Amino acid sequence: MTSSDAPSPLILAGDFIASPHTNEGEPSLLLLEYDHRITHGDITSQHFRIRPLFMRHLPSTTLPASHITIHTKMTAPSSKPDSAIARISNVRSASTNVNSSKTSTNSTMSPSKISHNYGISQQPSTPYYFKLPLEIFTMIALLCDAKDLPNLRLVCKHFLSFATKSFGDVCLSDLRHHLTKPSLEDLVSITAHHIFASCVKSIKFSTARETGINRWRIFDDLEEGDFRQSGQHVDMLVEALGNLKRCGNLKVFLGSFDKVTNVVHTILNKGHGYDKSYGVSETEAMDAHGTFSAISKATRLSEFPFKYISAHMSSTETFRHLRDVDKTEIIFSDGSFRLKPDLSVKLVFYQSFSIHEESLALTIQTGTTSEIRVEGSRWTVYRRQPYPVSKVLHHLAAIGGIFHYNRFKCLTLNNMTFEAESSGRLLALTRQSYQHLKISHVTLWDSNFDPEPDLGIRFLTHYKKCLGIETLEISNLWLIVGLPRHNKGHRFAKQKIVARDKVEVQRVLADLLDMVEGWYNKVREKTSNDENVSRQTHESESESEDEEDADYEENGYWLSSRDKIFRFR
Amino acid sequence: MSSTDEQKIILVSSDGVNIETARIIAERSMLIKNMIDDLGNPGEEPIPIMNVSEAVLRKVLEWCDHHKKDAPPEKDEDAESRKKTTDIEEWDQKFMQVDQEMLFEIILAANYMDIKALLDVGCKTVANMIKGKSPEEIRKTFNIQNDFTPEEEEQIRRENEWAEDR
Repeated sequence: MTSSDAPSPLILAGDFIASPHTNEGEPSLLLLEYDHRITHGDITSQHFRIRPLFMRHLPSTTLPASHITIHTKMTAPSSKPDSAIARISNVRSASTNVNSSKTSTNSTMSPSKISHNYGISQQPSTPYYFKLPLEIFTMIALLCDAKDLPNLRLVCKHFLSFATKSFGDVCLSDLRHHLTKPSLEDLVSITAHHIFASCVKSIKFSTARETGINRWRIFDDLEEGDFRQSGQHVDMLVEALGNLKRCGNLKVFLGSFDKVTNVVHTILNKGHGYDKSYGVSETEAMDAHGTFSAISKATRLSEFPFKYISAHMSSTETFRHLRDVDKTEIIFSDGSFRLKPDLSVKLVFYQSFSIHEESLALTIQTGTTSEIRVEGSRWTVYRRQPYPVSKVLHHLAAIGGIFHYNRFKCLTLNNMTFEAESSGRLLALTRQSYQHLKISHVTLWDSNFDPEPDLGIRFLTHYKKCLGIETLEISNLWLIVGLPRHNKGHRFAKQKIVARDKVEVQRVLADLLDMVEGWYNKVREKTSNDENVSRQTHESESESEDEEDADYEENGYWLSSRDKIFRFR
Repeated sequence: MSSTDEQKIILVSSDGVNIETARIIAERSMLIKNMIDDLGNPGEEPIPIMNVSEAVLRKVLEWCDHHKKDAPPEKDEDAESRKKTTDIEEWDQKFMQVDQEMLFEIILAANYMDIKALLDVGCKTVANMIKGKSPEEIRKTFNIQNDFTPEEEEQIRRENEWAEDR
């Protein structure tokens, strides 16, 4: 082989995704990389390193180019030859010269043949999609809807190899299962998968159970009853957690989810394997205690860290069971609400009839971070589906002990809408000497304008009195007053305001208080003017509407009663 | 001395064609912007754009010209959520009405030249071509052969079912 026959460095520097058949004839995907060349006198041979892309049981090996047979055409080298597709067959070992029966589309992967194949692939039939590198394919996959990703995997092997990680990240990161055999079998398979196991970020188990005769059947003598009574569900959980441990994925949130139904009692969050487990039966009972007991036992047996805990609740009962089952003090110490160190806990309370918006969500980090994050729904969501204040108060009461028994350095309020009552309760509950405060996308709604002082002033004054706050970040604080069809609103801190010492924090809060107070005064004045205008004749009323529109256009913050869609700017 | 906006620079395509353009247009590409910053003396020496042919480079510059006054992308907390939408401005939609070869060449050029907004538009265009389609329809759209055996296809379908009822 002379130097002029050497493959272009551009071609050899790249990786080649190949699809070989293993000894068993089982197709799989391999990555081919140029490894080295060996020269014997005038003869030089190129060697390629082959490593399995997805099938880990295939060993890495290095083959001379003459031992690799390519069946399909490779893409043109014009831009990105490193994404070329090749199919290799009968790769047995480096020492075995494989069958290289050549058809019109077969060729042995020698440097000269590579060039030849690039020439062939200039045909218009070459899919342009194959030119895209992995990172761009991933971007495209992530822009697709979740329901498109399974279809992408079924297009061809190239798409399968590129879309599988995105599929795992999007569709299999937040798992919801039942403690039943069909559901747990799939959980074990997912966690045993060499790509999907590392995509799993949380596993929540349903607290829902069948009831009546079905419940008796489950717990006494039929299949499901035998399954759980004999502890097989814990065994399968131990296997799944063991799989996650083996792939090094230890930061998985474990916990529970409660059933949520819509107004016509259709279950909105069935969880994987519901139909296989229960068929058309409806789960009517809840067993939060049994669910947490199983998780607790499985984590002990598998020695899987149970310090990332997640519970999605439609009932505060579940939260009570979370505490009751905690005899081994995994979460709480001393039989109280005192949290153990080094925990990450997510407690989410659903709104009624929805699993997408939460009335309240707490994210707690103990240990050196010592942070508590309180979230709810933004105004744009809340105004469509407001949750009852009484329910929020109930939820706040349930978790009140957490604030009472624990001290946090950092408080974050994010994506929340509060009315006067719930806001007052939250402020009272979260009264602590925080060092760091972050407020973002918080809306305070005074539906009734009468009580003094106004909600925004109360809110800011509360934190201004916390003299220990060393850093403050505040953005998108909305104040809304009036009933829904007569709202007036204003956004403060449209651009994030950051204060980095105690003096600056006090100054920022004082400035905001001045602005908020001024705005409330303007609202009162305008409301009074509007009431006067409404008393005038029909003609003059029309004129006043024009003025109101002009006012809206001018400052962009008034929300006219005629604005069916709230136009926040 | 001309202002930065009016300065002209010369780009050289992979097929050796010199293309003159305004610096403000070319600097939508971070690759070119960084090269100008590093090299200094813009306009004095042609800048080679190694991986982009003349036709594609002209098309990319057309996009850069239209978007030369766009504000830089905001780095706020909503940036990630905006990225997930596949809405495309009307002008960009028309711009992307090209044959598939040119579409993918534009995407590759945007990636190489580091023009994030154009890369976004290209990826969104392709994503919109995929959305809601069955595997067979996607194959037809992109002229792809199904190279799965029935057994392989069945295995993938089983794995896809793991995503159900989440």
